[in-house]
Amino acid sequence: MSPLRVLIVDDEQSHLITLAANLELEGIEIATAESATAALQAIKESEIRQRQFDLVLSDVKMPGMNGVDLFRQIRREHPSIPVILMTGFAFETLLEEAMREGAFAVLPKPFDLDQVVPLLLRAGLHPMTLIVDSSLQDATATVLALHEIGIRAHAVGDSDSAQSVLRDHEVDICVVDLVMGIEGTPTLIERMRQIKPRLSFIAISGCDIPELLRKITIREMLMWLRKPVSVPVLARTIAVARGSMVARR
Amino acid sequence: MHKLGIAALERTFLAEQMLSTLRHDLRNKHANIHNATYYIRRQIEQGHAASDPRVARFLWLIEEELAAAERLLRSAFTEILTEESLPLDLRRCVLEAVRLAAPAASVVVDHQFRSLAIPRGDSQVVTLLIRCVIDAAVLALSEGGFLSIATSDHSDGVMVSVRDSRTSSVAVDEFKFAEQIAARCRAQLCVASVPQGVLIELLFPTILP
Repeated sequence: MSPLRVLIVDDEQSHLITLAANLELEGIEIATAESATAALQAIKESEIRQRQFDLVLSDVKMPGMNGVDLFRQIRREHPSIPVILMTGFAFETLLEEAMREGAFAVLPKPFDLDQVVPLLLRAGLHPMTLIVDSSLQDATATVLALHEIGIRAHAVGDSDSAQSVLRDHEVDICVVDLVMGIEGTPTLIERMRQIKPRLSFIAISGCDIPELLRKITIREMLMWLRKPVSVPVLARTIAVARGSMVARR
Repeated sequence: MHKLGIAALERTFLAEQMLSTLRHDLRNKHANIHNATYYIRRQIEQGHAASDPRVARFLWLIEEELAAAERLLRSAFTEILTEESLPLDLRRCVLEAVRLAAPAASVVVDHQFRSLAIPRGDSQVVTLLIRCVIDAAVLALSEGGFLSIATSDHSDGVMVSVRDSRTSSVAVDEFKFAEQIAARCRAQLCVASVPQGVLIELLFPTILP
């Protein structure tokens, strides 16, 4: 299996070289760019050489084109490359927009390298988001809308199909309807965790179900959204769920 | 008064922006130091530190980043301290405050700049304070009248006196905002009714406490 190829983009050279050095120790193949323009050029050249990057890890605040605009351009021209953004700011409207538009995750600088490496390896596998809803029609509509903004997703309408997809595909996030069939969502989550212990869950429900929520919270349910959920809000929640595995030091 | 409130909010906003940028820049330095130490530690653990040229380079980088972080902190706080401790051109502050307050043509304005001592402070805040006092006088002189502004030296500072010929009395909260600004620039504010008007005195210290 060929090593993960990551393009790091940062105008600050010290950050570029120290981050690159650590990731190289993990066996990750690194290329660096000191601006968004240089990054786009590097991506173009990598495609010509047929050695495309598996993902781009970019700073946000840079002179000229910023990291969020770079993400937007990559998504338009190279939609298969996931983009992870890094920032030293606590909150930025720009970052909120990027997450709502399909950025893979946002990392707070300085971050824990022990936690970043698994996230990068996961992102490099281009994982899917699994949408589990008793209404397959609703789940399919959500999947199509997520595809529009470059988020890979798959829809299923029952528990057995969900478990089958988990076994056969790379899935890192599961968006699950809180009312799933006779056996119920908590049991389904338990079974899915047995298949993929590190799977993150986002619960969706059309109404408040306190008892069910309590059970699911006990099982470390990540987040809860109430229907109807807009695609930008779901995209943001997926990005937050992925980024939440990396804490600011 | 509303305009003055906006000016104060703008300054607060700018201060927050400055702090946000400082936090961001320091986090970047912190990230570089963290990445460099993480790398060195791993190479030491694996016994590669002596043969890896990056280790020496990263040790140097840590020193550089610490010095850069120190410079960032020093420049940020120097900016704040310098602003508040600069010698103040009180005459210019008074003239600017009068210009901003824009008294009506029916108000006769008289200036007398007699002070020689030089107080210290943030000229924008001091101008804001003087303007606040002059604004109150201008508002009270809507029918016209006299406005006299003078500076004079005292044993404990430089005084700016604003006297108006209003016939109405001073409203309860009229100088509440001015009092807050005065506290910020360590000035004392005194309001007194005098024959044929109101006298407001602002005493600015000539040395920092």
